[in-house]
Amino acid sequence: MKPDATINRRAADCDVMLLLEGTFPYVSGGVSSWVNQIIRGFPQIRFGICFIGSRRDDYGDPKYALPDNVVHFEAHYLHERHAAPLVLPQGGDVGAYAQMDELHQQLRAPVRADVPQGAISASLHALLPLMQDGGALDEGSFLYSQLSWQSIAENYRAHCTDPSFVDYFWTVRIMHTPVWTLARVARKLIPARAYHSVSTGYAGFLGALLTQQTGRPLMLSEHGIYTKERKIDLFQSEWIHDNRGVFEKDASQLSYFRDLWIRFFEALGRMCYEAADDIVALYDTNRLRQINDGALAERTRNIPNGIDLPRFAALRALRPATPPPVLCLIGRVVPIKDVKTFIRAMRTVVNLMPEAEGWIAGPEDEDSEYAEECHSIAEGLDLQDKIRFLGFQKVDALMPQIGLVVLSSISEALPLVLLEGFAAGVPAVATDVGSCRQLIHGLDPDDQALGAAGAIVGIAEPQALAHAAVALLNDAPRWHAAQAAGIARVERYYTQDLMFAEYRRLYDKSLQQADKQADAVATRAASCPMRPPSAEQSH
Amino acid sequence: MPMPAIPCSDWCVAVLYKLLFLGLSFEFSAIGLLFVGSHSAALIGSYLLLHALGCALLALVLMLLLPARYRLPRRWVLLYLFAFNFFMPLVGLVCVTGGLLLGFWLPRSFSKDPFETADQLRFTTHRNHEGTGFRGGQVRAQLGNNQTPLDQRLKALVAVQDTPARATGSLLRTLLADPADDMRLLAYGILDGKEKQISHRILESRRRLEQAEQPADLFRLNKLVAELYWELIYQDLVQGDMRSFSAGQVRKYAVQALQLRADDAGVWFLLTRLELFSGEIDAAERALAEARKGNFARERLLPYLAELRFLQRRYEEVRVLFDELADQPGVPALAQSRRYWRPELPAAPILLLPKGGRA
Repeated sequence: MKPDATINRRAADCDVMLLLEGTFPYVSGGVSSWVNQIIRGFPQIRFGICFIGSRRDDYGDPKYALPDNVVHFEAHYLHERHAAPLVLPQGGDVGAYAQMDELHQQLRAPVRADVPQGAISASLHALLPLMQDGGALDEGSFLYSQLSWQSIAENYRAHCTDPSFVDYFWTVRIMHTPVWTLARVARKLIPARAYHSVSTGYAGFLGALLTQQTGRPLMLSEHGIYTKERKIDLFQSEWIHDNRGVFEKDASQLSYFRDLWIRFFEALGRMCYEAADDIVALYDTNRLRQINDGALAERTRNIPNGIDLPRFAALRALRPATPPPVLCLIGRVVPIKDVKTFIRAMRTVVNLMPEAEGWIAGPEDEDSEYAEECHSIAEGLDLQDKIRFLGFQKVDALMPQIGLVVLSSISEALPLVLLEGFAAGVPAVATDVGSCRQLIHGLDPDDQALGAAGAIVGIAEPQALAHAAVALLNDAPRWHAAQAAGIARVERYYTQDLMFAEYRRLYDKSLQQADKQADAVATRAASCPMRPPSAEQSH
Repeated sequence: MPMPAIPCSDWCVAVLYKLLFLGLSFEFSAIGLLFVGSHSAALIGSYLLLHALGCALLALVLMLLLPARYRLPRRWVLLYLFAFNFFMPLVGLVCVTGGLLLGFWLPRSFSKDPFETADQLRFTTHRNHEGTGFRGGQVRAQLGNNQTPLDQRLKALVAVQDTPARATGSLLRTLLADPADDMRLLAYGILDGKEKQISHRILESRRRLEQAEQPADLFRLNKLVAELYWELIYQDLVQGDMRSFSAGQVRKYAVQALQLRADDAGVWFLLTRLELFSGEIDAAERALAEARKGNFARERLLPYLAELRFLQRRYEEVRVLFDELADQPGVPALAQSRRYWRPELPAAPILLLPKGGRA
């Protein structure tokens, strides 16, 4: 739990505390670029960053230089070994455990069932002071008290469909330990006027704790949907045991521990949605998903990504008259980008268009095993001369040299590379994921009237991807029409100015709300001389 | 003095020696008193006092030397050792010491009982909720129907997760275009996971092949790589150009294996299936003939031979081959083909499990 040694920014307070889980500044990618863009877009706001990661060794050096207006930085690693509390024999507080049970019951109930809005936050609010070290529900009590044991044993008997109590016991302990770690982080974090989390999950839960603790507003901006992504990971993870015997197993039922983990992250998400004052999605499908997962519709809104238009528009002049036969995948070489499908598609592209080349511009260090697999597939398909692995590249230098941006991802939200390509005058072929269809074909009728800025294909369909790309590159009028549509679309709907204007409104609202609260506290403190102002802050 | 739980540290050993020395001194002093020659009550009293003190100290020493499991309950063990020494002066000490030494030196005469009491067998129904399972074609129906609630469809998808890709490949590929993100991602994950398992083995085997030097290893690894590439095709995990590429790799490695051992019927059989799959009739004919020459089980070759004759339009021979195939129960699809080719033969029973004697 010590602050990161490589970045040294400390302050006594800040305006907006960004809660970042596994992203900026240690991991490069769309979300990190967006965070970087937002921080630099609001130089007048003093940002703080609270980075949540798994273990220090999982991250290398920072990938981004911290902008000057980041006044405070701290990193916390949830799965780093830290000193466990002293093992003391203790009974446990009956009332505290009853309160904890109540929260669990509320979280077990389906979204929008009997639980009134705000009930979960109220329960969490009541539990927070008990979770402090020495409190009735501190980490020591959870790990070692008799009542905790009883509670786990009772829950096992009441709910668990896996025969192994030992696995259940340890799963519950391991799963919940980060909750106390985060509560400790929340207690020690410097004061901020508002909190802004960029995902639900652990960072979002930390946001919920902070807003409960301080009463300051919480904003949530989700790019992908964290809970959904976790769920897909958990469906396929191999480290979760299933101890059911042959006669007990029902193939359609998830193993209990898998289900437990999924519900844990759903619960974290729900607590964050309930606590957040403003919930932002990049496009409407994700917004509806948030509502479905427990967000109040009136608190949600869409703010699409936007890009620095003048920077990319200047690149158009550098383009050659005819589009170069170069297909470029810009992104990290990781499974979610499905680089393998791009490489396979290149086999067909080269068969149809021997002069074509495929470039892969993105770092390969995040999943080196996958990157190696990609290299061997390229080699196996005899494409060594046709596919170039360029590593991390500056987009500005790349754009004028390529004919098509290709996105073969299996999951995306609102990919910045497509927008950057459009602005630089490069159409795209993308898979039908996230808001790609909306970006290529347009959303509402006005948008659609601008035309198609490329083509959309299904995921994991190399043949279709190849044919769509070749059709565009071989048909000059169609390529130019797609270029024009892309430029028009990005200029009208996806500029940085539009995005900043929306976020400015959001930040202004949150900061004003925070100031009003602070004024109210100060007034109350002044009218009651017996009561110190800090008492208002600590519940 | 507080009794340490584990008598092993240095200070503990020092205390042990001191206690032992003191105890023995008391004991020998007491015995010495007996040889003084007087029989006064004071002397007897002194003797008993010294003897009792010696016994108490020796009991403590012995107690500390006892293995931990014999040390409880402490008071009674201590009392017992004291009484043993007290009522049998010296003899008691010798006996207990002898017992301890025997315990240390003799090997354990008892080992863990190889038998354990098992719980009575019963049908386990550990919270198995009834009525949640899928029946027959329900999985396929639910997966294909977009109107079914997402949770139900996800469950159906999870249910086919462990089914071989050969049976579910096309269904999973259809789901890659599903409107629901979760379904798409999970279907992709399942297909990708299955492909990755084989691809990893291919990469690893190729790496080992590069390092292999012995002809036996070279043959084995070439054959293994060919079989793994064939598995990708057989499990329906590769399409289009990737499928042709994999077929090319099977051929390449199978030929390399045959260069090392030309009479291996297994490799020829693999080539037979590959050439039939690629529609290379002549090459299939040659591979099949070589497999037969290598004494490959005829009954396993029969379906492929029938397929080859069919592709060669030698239909009469296909009909004859089905007479032989009639004896092979098991594959329902084969029974259907047989009914078409030899309608006059009585239907062979379809057995899903091998016959007991042949299993």
